[in-house]
Amino acid sequence: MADIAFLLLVFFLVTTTFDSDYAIERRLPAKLKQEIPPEDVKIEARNVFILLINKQDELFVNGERGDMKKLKDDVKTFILNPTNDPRLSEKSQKFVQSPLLKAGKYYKSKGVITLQGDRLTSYRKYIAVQGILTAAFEEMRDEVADREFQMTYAELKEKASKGNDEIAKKKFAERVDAIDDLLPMAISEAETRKSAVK
Amino acid sequence: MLKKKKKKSVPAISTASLPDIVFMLLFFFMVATKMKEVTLKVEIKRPFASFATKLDDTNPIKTVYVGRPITSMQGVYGTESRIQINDVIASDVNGLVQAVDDWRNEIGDANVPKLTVLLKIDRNTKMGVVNDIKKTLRDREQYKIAYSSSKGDDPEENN
Repeated sequence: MADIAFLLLVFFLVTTTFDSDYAIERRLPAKLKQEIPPEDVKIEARNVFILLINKQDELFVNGERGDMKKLKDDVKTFILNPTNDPRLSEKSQKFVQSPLLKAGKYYKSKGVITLQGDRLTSYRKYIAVQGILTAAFEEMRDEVADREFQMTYAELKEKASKGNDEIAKKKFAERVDAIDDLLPMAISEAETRKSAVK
Repeated sequence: MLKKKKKKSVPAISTASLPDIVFMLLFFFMVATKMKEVTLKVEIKRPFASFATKLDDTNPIKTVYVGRPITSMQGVYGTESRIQINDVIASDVNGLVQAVDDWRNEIGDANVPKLTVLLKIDRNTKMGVVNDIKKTLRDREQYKIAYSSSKGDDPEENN
């Protein structure tokens, strides 16, 4: 009996892999029904945060060499613009109206982050930057979630998708939507440029 | 002084409880094991991301693998990054179009908007390949994607 159990044990020992699936979720931009000429899409320069990774995997923020360690805070400051700096992203004229969020407290940012790469940029660097961007948005969403619902954003999301109580799930899904609406993950993944040298 | 030589015999350890222990371990591994769904024909080392979430597995997830073919496959497929869909290495990125259609048929119309395509891509892949995949998926209106990654900081990060 023990022999058979041993045999099975060894089999499962060998086949077990413990890597759980972590991933960065993204939504690709919707396909345009009609090609809009570029001059019709006007975004003010102050509302765009340009990230570029060149083929040597060097990061450039708004045209200057960027620091991976500072990137997360830079993104947060750009979106939230706590000091109303005219060089950082613009805020909506009116307060955000939502039955779930305290009135007269939140502005929506018009800021967009664009991430450009080269065809020769490594996927490793690209994901490192994507991870930092996700972390920045998660932290900003956490702050709102904590203030409004005394929970982390991740907890809200989990409660919205797990469990049997459909009414409770819906309630949490609405809260998640309210936060997503206030702080949309405004990351535009521009198509990579062709590298001059092949 | 005389010392009496005493032969001390070590009592044998009872092995009666051994099957119990083995069974316990066996059950642990049986429960913890997740069988691999496909045989990988490309080598994949995931990139690092300082923040990543667990995918919501209540929604359908389909995986695309990208990496260099494993040694035994290099004779046929070369050493450049290739795309593996289900159990086969695709000749090029257009193989994805058929795959997306097949997945949609498999999961049913109601689930199509919930489908996430998980991109398991080797960290040393160049972005050109990744972008071709993203473009193809976008053209097929498959918008929900996820980049598979390891949670944690890159140990070789130097910028």
